[in-house]
Amino acid sequence: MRRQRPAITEAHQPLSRRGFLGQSLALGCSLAAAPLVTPIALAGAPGENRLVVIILRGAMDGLDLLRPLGDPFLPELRPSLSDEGVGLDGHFALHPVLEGLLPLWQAGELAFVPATSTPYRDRRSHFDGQDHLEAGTAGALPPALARDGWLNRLLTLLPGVEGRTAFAVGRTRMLILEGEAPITQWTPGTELALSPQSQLLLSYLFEADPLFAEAGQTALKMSGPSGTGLVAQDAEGLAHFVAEQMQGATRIASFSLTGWDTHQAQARALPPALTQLQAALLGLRARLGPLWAQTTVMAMTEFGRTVRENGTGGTDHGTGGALLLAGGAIKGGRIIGGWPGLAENALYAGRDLMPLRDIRAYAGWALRDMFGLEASAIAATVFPGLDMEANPGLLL
Amino acid sequence: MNFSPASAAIRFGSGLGPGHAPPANPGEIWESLHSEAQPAFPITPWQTRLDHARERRALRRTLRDDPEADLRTDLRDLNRADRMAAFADLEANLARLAYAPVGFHARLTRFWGNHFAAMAQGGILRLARSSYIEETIQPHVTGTFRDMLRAAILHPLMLAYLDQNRSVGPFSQVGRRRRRGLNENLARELLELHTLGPEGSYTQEDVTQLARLLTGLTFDLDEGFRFEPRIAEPGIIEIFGKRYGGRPMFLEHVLEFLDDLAERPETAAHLAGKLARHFVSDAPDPQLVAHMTASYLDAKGDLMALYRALLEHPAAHTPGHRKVRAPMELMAASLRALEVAPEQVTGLSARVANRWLVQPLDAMGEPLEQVPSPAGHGDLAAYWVTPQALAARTLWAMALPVRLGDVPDPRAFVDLALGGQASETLRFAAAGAETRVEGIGLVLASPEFSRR
Repeated sequence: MRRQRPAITEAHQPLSRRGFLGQSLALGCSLAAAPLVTPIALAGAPGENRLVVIILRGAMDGLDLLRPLGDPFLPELRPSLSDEGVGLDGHFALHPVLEGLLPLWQAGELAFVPATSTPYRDRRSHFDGQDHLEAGTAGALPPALARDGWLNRLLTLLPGVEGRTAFAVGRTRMLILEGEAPITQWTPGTELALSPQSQLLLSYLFEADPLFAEAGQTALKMSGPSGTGLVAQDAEGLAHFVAEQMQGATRIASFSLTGWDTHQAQARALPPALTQLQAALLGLRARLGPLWAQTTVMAMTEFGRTVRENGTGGTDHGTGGALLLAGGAIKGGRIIGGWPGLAENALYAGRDLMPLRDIRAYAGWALRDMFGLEASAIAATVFPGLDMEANPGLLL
Repeated sequence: MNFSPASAAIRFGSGLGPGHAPPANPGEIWESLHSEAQPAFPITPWQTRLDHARERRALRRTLRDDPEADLRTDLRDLNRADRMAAFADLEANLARLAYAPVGFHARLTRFWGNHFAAMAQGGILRLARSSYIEETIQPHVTGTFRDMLRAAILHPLMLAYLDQNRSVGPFSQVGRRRRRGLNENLARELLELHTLGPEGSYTQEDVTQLARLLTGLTFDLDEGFRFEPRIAEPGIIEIFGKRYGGRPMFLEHVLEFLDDLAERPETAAHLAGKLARHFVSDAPDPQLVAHMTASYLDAKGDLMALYRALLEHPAAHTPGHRKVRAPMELMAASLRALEVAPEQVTGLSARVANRWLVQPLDAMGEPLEQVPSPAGHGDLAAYWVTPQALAARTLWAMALPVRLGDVPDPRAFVDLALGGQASETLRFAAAGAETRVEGIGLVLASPEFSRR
């Protein structure tokens, strides 16, 4: 279980100068360029199926991504976050900015598990929650140095795995792919994306010091999404880059998108992150071409958010949330795993959406069906101790 | 006395880090000046800069005589070597700050290097400020101000920067023949910036007299500093009621004046005030400054006595951090707090050094091997706090943990980096970030971490 740092190598030379790389190099002239990135990790594995795991860091609000407009309690719980949506099945609607995903839904290439979570409960810390999500273990986390990620443990089950040249755009280490099996990380140039949450927190910090208050606010305005300094993360470029690698020998990729921690004015704060997610999905689909049919994308977050809007038009850290599935390989166009409802007595701890099933079970069954593994091997190695229960039949 | 080890490490040293115990008492800070006087991480010797200047001059002369000569490669290689040396010097200066057990010595070297601000303005001497500081300031940080003053004022970089090598005594051998005259630049800054201070009681007449006295100080690329009698103004020169010089002029006459200047009460008050302002507060306690001034005068300009007076005074240890870390200090404190290994800071490729250190420092207001004026960087807290500089600090702070990849838990880091003195707001921000790296970045980007 000990994480083998040497198994991760940094590739300093891009493999290819086509496509995304050319684009990123053009962007890369700025001051911010080199270090301000999130690794995406890719790994080569046998077979023809492709898996992309997107970690939505910051606790994505599943209830706003996929609005349960048919739930009678929603308008009262979320007065400013329940007005409209892109209807899917009469009960659920996509957030209005996700209109571009409707064709995927109609083509059976998009599905949601609306009420799921990791086994992590009650503490609601982003850092710990993400570690649980990526480590894929239940109970207390192993010590930091002994942690590895479930995608890496998956690799140990697959024959003929090789380290692939890998690439990074984003801003965080991917524990999910760390471990004994060889993978490669790469960090190309990109602009820094200061997430809305970081901007907000920084603005509190600047405000607290009279000497820094005014200059700090000006700096943040310069740095905001509309400013020139710190532009938004380039999810689409990232997706293009992943797709390009998947045309080759890469079969598994993982990267992060941030900007989900919407404690305040969520109606304004969430759309930029949703837009990035949509751009990533559409970018993968467009660039994978025929390979999209063999691709499964899972977008997962560390935990959901409170079912009630808070006093500042936002939502706080919760428990149950949504898992998004996409790709030509999935049996989509449907809502999976049931809906607990938003009635007071249906909530977790009276405040959060009740998770109906462990998110690892969904991931585990998807891995089994994609890579032809035994369910027992998944439960023994990838998600140790997990009760897989029945196959939800995510794939075609 | 309100002595707090964590506050003292932040105020007088390089900050806090898991690998460095904060000083237990003021005496430990003072003692560290001896043990840290010979820092690791070498700086390019001044002689190398001089050698390169000679090579550059030779190449230019060849080009002048033969415009067709293809020397582009040689000039480019030479410029590249100088640039690489400047990058390496920057890395060394950063590492000296970041990895010193206390860092008071490294901080004082920066203080005095800024006090005697000088740089090469392009031309054949390039990017040589660190080498100058290493030769003139570093050896005298724990010595006397008199020796430091001599070393800095007579150094070729200072003489070139403040035009002293162009100043010719009107009645000197060269002056009479070529009708060239005085340049008062160094004379004025010597009084206003380096010794008596802007409040000092000197007149334009004093400046002019001093400019006459200073003639003769020059340098060449073969020998370095040189006293050239043929440009030295002959005769007795009276300044501040004392007569200097004679016929002929000697270097000793200039040195005698510099030594007298170093021990004048106005010099003592100016240096004491500036040092207290640098380390403690924009408006330091007058009793602290008076105590430091008196100690300096009693010890005849012994700088160790000046520092002792600073460190032993209760007003130097009042709670709260009123000053702001300079960009390089912020970087060093960040590296120290995150235990970044020295190998990750030194020996960087030009590309990495440029992107990770040189350009960010430039954007934060500390451009490579440059000073903004002979007065150096400003010493009030607000000097570093501009929107552009804060954006650059934020960018760098958010980028460092990304670059490192493996970072500690922000909830623990906030206590470590701020010595348990973090505000609730900062704790909240560290714990409320979406990711670990952002949590660390927010701590490093916070005003609290920028304070010292």
